[in-house]
Amino acid sequence: MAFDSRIYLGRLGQLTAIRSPRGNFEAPRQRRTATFELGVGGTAVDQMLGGARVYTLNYDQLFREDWIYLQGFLDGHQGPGPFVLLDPGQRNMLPANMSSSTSLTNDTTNFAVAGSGCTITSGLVTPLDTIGPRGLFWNFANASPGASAAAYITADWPSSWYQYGVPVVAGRPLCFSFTVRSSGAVYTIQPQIIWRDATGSQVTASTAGSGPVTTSVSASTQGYATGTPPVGAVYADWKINYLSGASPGTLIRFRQFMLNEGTTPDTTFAHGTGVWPVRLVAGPEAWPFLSPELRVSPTVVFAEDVT
Amino acid sequence: MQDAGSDYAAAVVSHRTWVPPRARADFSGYGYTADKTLDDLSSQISQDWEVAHDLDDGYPNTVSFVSGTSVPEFETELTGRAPSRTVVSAASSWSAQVVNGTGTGFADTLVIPPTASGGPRAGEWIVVTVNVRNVLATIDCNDELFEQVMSAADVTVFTTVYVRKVSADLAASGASVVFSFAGTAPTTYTIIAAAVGLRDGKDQQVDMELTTASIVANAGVGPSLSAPAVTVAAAPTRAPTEAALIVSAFARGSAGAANWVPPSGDTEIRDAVGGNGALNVNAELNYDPTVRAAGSYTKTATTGAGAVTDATMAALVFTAITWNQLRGVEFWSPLRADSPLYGVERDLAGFTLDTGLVTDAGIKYVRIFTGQTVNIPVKGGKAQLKTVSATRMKLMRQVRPFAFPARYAGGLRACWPVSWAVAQAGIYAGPKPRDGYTTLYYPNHGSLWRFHDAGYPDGNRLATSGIERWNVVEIASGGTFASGTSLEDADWIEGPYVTAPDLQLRAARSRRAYTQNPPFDQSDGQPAALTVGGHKGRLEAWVKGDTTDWSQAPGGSSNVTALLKLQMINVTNSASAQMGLDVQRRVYITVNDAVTGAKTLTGPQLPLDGEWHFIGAAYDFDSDKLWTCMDNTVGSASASLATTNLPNNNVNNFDITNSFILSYLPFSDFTFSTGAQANPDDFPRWRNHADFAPTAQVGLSRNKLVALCETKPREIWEFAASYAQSELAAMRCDELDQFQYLPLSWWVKPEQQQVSALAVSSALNSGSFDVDNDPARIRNAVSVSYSEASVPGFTAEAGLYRRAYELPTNQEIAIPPGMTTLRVTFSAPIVGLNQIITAVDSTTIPASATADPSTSYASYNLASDGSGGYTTASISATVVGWNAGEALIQFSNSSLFTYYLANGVNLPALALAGLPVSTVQTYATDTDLSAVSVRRGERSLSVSAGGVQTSESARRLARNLKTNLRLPMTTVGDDSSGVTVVADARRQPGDLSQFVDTESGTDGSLWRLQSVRHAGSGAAYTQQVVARKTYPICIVGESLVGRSIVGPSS
Repeated sequence: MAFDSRIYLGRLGQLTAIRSPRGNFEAPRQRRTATFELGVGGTAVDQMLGGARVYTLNYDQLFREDWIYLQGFLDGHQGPGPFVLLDPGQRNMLPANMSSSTSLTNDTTNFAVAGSGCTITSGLVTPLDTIGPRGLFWNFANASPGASAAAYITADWPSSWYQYGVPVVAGRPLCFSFTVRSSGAVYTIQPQIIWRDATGSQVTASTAGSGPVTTSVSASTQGYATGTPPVGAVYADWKINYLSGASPGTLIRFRQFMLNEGTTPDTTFAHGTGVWPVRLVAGPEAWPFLSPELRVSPTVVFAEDVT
Repeated sequence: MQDAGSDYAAAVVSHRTWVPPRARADFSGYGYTADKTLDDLSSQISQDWEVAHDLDDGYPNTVSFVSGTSVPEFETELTGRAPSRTVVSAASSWSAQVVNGTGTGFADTLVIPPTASGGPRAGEWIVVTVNVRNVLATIDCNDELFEQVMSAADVTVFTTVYVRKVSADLAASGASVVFSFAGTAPTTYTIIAAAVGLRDGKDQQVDMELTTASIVANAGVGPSLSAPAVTVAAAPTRAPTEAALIVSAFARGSAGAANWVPPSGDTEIRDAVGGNGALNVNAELNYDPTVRAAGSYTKTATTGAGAVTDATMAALVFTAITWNQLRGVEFWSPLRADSPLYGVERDLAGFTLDTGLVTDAGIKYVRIFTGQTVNIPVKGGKAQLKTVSATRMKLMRQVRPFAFPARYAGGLRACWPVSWAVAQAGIYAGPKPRDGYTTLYYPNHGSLWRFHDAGYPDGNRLATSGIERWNVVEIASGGTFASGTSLEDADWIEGPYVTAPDLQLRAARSRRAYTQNPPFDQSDGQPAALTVGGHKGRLEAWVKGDTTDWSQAPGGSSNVTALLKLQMINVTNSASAQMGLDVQRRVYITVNDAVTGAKTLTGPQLPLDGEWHFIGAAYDFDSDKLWTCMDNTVGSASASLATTNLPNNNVNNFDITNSFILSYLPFSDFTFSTGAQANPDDFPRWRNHADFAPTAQVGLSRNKLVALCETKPREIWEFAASYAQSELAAMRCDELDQFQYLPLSWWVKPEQQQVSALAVSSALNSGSFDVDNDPARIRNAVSVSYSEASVPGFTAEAGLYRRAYELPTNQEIAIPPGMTTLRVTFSAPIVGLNQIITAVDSTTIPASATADPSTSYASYNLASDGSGGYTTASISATVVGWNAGEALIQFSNSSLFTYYLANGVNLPALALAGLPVSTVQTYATDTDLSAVSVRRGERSLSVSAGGVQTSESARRLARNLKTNLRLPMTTVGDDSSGVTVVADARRQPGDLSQFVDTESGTDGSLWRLQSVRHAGSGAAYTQQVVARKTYPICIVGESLVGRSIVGPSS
């Protein structure tokens, strides 16, 4: 499988590939924990729900043109930000509760539903498996949830800044996928990627990929949509439309939501933690003897702004 | 303990995955709108924060007597991030109601019911256009949230545009929005209401504000009219980059005038044609959602072939509340004009903090702080968010309670002044009254005295006859009705919310409370109750379902006409209204219009279960309808009711001998409302609905007062705290910012004996225990100093009043022709005043001055030394206001001469009789004589109890202090720090919890939490708790007395 391994950095809608570091690209995600010492000597451990990554790019050296682009973010010439950094090491670009199909929060945070009699819930899946404990359940209370355009599930993006989807690079294809299984009825649903502009308005939608997916009550089926961001697209949003099959009291169960670079779903599901705005917090500058066109050993540090 | 469900409890035990606290503010003043903009501070607050909730019950710390009050605060740093920028993509609208009509001096209403499909949502704006052929007299809305009215008139068309912001989704609020209109002269009119909102690209609502509004009359002669040019303010001030332009166009035309055609590019919201013939009025609302940039816009509307004359047009610009990208300090700096907070008051925004936990049922939040911002200074590159209890801020207001003696109010417990004082700040210990419509308000929170001021200055009655009082009369079996015993104290029991008088109607004994001529309140614009101008009324109260033996009533059943009754009878005819509980325990209402006779509606019986029940009764002459309500069962009936024979004036036309409130059963939170809210069809929620839920908890006080006689205004918090200190009541604001006043009796209630599930164990959730049994706190001799008060009673010799004021003989007061006002100050506070000021001369003054101290008099003499002639006819004196400390007297001199308050017999020229309160500074002591105390020697504590007036209360305070301080008081944690525990946001001060620590020998016994201090630092969410050992509730005869809380007593 060929990945686009380039690192993209820029303002929203104005992303460009930057030089990949010869050293490591460090991207640890810090999920804060706290230990509490009990009176009798044991410990109790608390943790926070979310986390944030700190990206560290360890360059051996950079040519001036590469450095100048980074310096624009460091010194404010690119505006106050925040900025977009697409880490090719994070294949699934969906946020954690979405990619874990509600297993992070045990509720439908980051999902939305529309349609007459339609509700979504977070439910434990059976039989137990190693993927994760929960799935997103799309429940139907009547046989006519509405036209295909009116009954759907979609994302409710968590970032207070990227409200309309995952930032995209024009011309860089993306693939949205999930696995699905139904209970009590066989459904047909249609996944799509919606390309949105900076105001959230739809530019176009991509429905190529698996096309309409017919669910099974006994096995999981994968559905996906793929497309290339058109000119003017800033965000990739997703939507799964209902097409047919609704029966009162039945439901569709979704798992393994993924948005990856490329035109097909990755064969190996990856957990996502989302694409969040970043700020450039460090970038030491030094140049070697008699080589002012170079920058030696710059270590560039970005911090995710998970709000 | 707050209830967050079993999922929450399981998650606390199993994994404790915390969610960042949810911090919400309300800078816009319209409530939190969840619009991901200004009011959501969740993403901004620092990882370090702290909230402290204490239950300071007034027991002293080591060296001093503490306040007995606790105010929570919350403070943290803000990152200063600008909230996300929302972009307007479209405007939405709700097509609402239209009212057309024709009439003379019309009065109409436009009602948007809560059931309106897709009705106005929070954050949207309702735009009302009123187009009248002739003049619109008034326009008003029942929800006075925010409104702007602008009007213009040309020769024949009068147009008003009225806008108001919607504070809550109408469907969720459950209440109608009612617009009322009144016009003059023969007219025809069209009224349109529509709501508009702005939406982003995903159809999410964007908060918006009205930035421009203009209206122009006689904009032209059709068919082509122009709206006035409107200007969208230029950036960057609040960066109004997105706007929607609303154009309203109106015209009068000939018969069949055609509709307006919306301005080019606009979308029609609503269009209506009203009236008839030549009086047609045509109106239309349009909006243009494409307006985006600052600038000037001109709109042109066109009518059809109907040809139109006389027109007005209006333009409104609604702007999305968005802003340019700002960084940290820039956003919060009060000096940055491009910040959305620029010019916004920073000490008024409501604020809440919830901590969240991942549970099996999703993320659950528990509120741990409610308050308001007090400042957001920018310091060190960050913003500091400082908040405090909003209730505490509200209680900074100064009040002076009404002056009255306990004996005229069925007794007086300290909970009455506490409940009354907080009510003056809009905080109610019982169900809220109907604001602006309540004309009688008797909550009976420790006294029968009214809460409403009845329009009197300082709330003290102005009257030259009679005295305002409640009578409590007890008749024993075999007694006659006329020979009942008047009680000075009704005895007070726990009520449904605070207290209630202990009344009864049993064969062995009856005890009733009644007051004649209750002063109806119209001072806040409340309509009259039973006149030509106002004839709607609604009684609401809670009554205890005690057994009654009406047929065997002492004094005869024929003398008992109702178990509870409010009665009003016109003085000149039979017009009347009475309502309450009849002798068969049925809720009832009887109304007589003096035209068609009496109409009665009865409802269900009061259950015989000893529990508290809500009763209601209402009448509306305009709707010709009667209603009853028992708990949640509402009954109604149509009844033809004419207004022609009702009094023309106000309620003073009632015969005072037949206007009264009576009850034989414990009752509380009694209100009588008039006006629009008296109609249950228009306002279907009775006061037992959650909308009226109390916002304070006040417990039954054991502190008996003799009188309320504050001579100076006092801060509410300080005033209430003085009573808290005087009976060891805990006074605080809780996590929901509800005011609490919890006397000792609170802790002996059964519900306070429930053991919290949140045990504290050093093996499971707690750090090392800090156990203290500090002997240094021991006090075995307590002295309480207080002012013992007394009020003179009626005696045959002295009468009702006593001399309260005498003008010094060396003081010269001139009363020139016309009006003169004199302020007199009483040397001792008074709680009643004889307001008949008799003019006396040299002949009568000696008798008045010396033999009858119950008389108020004045002598007027032409000479300042009293050597001139007197007048008893040319000058009248009227008390125009009085309180415990002073009175304002107005003299009207109708002669041509200047008189003086003087006389030639060397006696006071002005004397006022009243009910002066005598106070004596004294003290009560209580000393422990047990062997161990004798060995320790006397360790005394002296406290001053400003809220105590009787020796009984002083002794009780001294005894309580001594009992709890004579031996070491065992605590976990101390005043300054507690034991650190793994947090559970449900933990609250006052919880009864088990504490377990094998090392210190804490053996699982019960402790009462005195303090819970929340502290967050990232994932480390901990609490510091301080607890005090809890001793068993004493059942006298079975328990040791002296170390226990003794159960309720009166």
